[in-house]
Amino acid sequence: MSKKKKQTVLLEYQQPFWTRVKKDLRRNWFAYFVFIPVLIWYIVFHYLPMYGVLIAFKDFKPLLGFARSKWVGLKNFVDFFSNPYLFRLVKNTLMLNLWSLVLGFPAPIILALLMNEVRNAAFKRTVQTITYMPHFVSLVVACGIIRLFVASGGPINQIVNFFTGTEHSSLLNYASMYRPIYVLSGIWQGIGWGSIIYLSAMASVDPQLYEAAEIDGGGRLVKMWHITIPSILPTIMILLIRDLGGLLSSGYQKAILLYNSMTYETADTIATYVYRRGLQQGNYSFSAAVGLSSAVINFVLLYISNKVSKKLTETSLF
Amino acid sequence: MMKKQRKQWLAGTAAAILAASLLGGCGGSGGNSTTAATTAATTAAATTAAATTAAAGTAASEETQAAESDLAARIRGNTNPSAEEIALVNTTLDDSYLGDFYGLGSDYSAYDGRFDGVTLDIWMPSLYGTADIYPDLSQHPVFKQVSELTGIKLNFITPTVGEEATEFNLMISGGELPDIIMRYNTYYTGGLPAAYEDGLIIDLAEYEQYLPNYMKFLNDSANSEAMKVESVNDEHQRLAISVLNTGVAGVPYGLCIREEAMERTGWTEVPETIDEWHDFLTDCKNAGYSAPLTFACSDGFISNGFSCFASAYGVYSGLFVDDNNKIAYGPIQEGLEGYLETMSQWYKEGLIDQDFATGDSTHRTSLITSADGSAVIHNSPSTIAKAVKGEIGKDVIAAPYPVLNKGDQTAVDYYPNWVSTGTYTSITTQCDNIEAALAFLDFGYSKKGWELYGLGSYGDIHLIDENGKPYYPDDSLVYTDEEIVQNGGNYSLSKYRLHWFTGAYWEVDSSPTGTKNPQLYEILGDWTWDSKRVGLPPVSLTPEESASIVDISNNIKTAKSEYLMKIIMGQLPVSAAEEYRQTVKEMGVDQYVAVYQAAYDRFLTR
Repeated sequence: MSKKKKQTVLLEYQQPFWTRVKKDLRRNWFAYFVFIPVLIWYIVFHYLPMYGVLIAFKDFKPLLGFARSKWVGLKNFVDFFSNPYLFRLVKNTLMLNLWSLVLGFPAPIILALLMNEVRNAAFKRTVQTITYMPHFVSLVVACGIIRLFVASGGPINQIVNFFTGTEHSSLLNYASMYRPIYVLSGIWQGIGWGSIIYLSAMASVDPQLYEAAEIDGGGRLVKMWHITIPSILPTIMILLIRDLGGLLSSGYQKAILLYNSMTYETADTIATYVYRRGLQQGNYSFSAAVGLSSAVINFVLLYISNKVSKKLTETSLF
Repeated sequence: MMKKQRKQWLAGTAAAILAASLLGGCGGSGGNSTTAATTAATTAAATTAAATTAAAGTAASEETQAAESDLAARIRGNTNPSAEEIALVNTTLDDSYLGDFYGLGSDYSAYDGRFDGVTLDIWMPSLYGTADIYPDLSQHPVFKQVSELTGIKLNFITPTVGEEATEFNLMISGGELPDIIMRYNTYYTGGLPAAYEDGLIIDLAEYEQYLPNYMKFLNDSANSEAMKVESVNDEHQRLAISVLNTGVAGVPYGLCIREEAMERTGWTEVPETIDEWHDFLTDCKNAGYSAPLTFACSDGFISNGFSCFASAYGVYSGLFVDDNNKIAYGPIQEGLEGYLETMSQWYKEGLIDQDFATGDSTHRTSLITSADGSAVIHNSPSTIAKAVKGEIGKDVIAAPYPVLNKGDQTAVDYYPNWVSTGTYTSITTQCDNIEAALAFLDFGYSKKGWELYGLGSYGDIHLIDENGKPYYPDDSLVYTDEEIVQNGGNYSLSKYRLHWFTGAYWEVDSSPTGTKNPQLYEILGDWTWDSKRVGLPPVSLTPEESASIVDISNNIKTAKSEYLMKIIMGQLPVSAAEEYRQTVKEMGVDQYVAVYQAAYDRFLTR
């Protein structure tokens, strides 16, 4: 009798975990029901394949399959970390991603802020459509365009010639030009698409705030600075943390379409190296070892930036 | 006890019934095939009895000999064959109308109907756009005809172009293997030896009796010695059969000068030495060509591994066999500085296309075809002759590989492969009917196969001349077909013929452009046979050996293309060549060479 009484006194959060889950399941069964497909998706496509990371420690051969391939211990990791080009690969990956972050991250925010101030709906729609467009162009075509523009005689090449006063062959032949080309073309490709999320965040700002500011005599800049930006700050922070966690990862497709041996010095990244070394020769174990190493570093970066963000802005992913 | 016995009885009866029905099935299909053969014969309205026996490939009797010479008389030199004659050539295995070429065999005894109803699964990447023209390759006219002649049905598994490696590895990781796999060795880590060790493919040395035509050609060909050595590995295993060349045309790439450039500059002889080339290219520049010399180049060598200009200095793009018959690494040889000096000088003087490092083949084609673009290109003469002729109406002239001093012997980084590398065709361990699979492949090495794969079907595609040699008449579909005329390229290569499928060929005999312009092949011969040929023969590495050098070979490749390209384009001084040598040494180039030396030694003692 006394026991029972004690139980009833327990506050909800003091109850055992599973008791609470059961209760919640009964109360919100429909929400859980709707969640099931998402759960299955994560288990099947994100958790089950994780066992595959074991091939990083094996000499994986598709024919022998997962179980019968030989264990090789840390050989694949040793191969990667003893590579004479390792430092350059890591540096290039970091530099390209840092520049993309520094220049590429604020760009869609600025575009969204500008767009938010435009009152002419037709103009706004036109600008939006034009800026989205590059996102839908196939990467191969987009890179073809870039190559043509920077080739000797191409418009961008001539602009550079005008400023430097010397003739250049294709700008993709110069290691020093590769980063700007890669980063700026990345902005061109992603700016419109990236701004969508900020525009939607801005749409949900309470108009009363703006009215109040207007009554207090606030101009456009004041409203932008004191209302719009603080309102979308959580969105910005979450996207920033996400991007920081990807500093050591990069796709190889665009680099492979743009780089050549003249620009390896600045263009060869972990991803392109793994592509040449691993995928082209069917060496999946090596690719997995490199992938695992960079995933670990990425996770550490993500964790640190999340901590910092939590301290400074009280926004965090977890 | 009783129960158990009864069960055994039941099982036994069931098994018997199964076996009986199986046998019945066999008999049925056998019967069908006979009727099929007869109908074919009657529809062909041939000199019936004799022709069918010849078709079945039974021992030659007096009677059949008479019939053979009869068919030969009707087909040879015939420029307007009747429907009956066309049917006789295309639907029977009688090859008496073909002359005796290259020692090709004509053993068709396996195609007597014993494989009727057999279907082979074949994994084969699409070459020359064949899969774009025929999404189902078994519908290709040549394969259809081969199927009819051999009685073997074909089911092709064609990977997406560009995704071959992924799809190949996906397929084998699924555990379900086709019967035959072709041109897969670069997609499987460790290549053929690893594939055998892992249990993917079988050793065909035990099955040579099922490859009568292949073995006959290996033994009777004029280049039998080289072929026999190249067709097996160091352990004398036959892990794959490859395309065997009935002739080798020679180095496919070389310097092609536009005739018009010779006229414009007043040169009557083609340049030979490096100095002459410098003068000639300077004259071209002064005559108005914006980029006198163009070529494909991504690693400092011109181009596609042929080391043009570099060979004059004794420098090559990769491994080569040196004067002492030892393997050496080409890019770090003594002459490197001299080569780079010349190239960077030419680049600075604007004699070389300024965008050669980033330009693709479209870029180069537009340069060589535009009036003031390039005067000289390093490429395959047949491609360039066509491009230039179309645009300007003039021909191209081929120049030998340049030398340093007048009278020096030219050198090419080339090994004439009698057994084509990269065309490996293997039988997998899951092949149910090895005899049928080999019989199908063996057909390509017979006279009939050589004719059919190489030059398509008789009548509409090719005819036979007085000497029993197939040729394309002017009204052949390879020249007149609407699609080929409009699209050219891949359509002309593969719409009616399959000159790249496993078999025996010579491009000179079967290329629609080549047979019309034999001088193109003389050019290739000139480039090749008088030169010092330093190319590495097709040695084979053990899986351990290839694993031990994969990192080294990648790193030295990266270093090579980076240093050499930068030096040529003037971003690094020529003196950086020494630094490059040191870098490559540190990366372990000596070990790399040693591995190949060991493999080469084994090759020599095969």
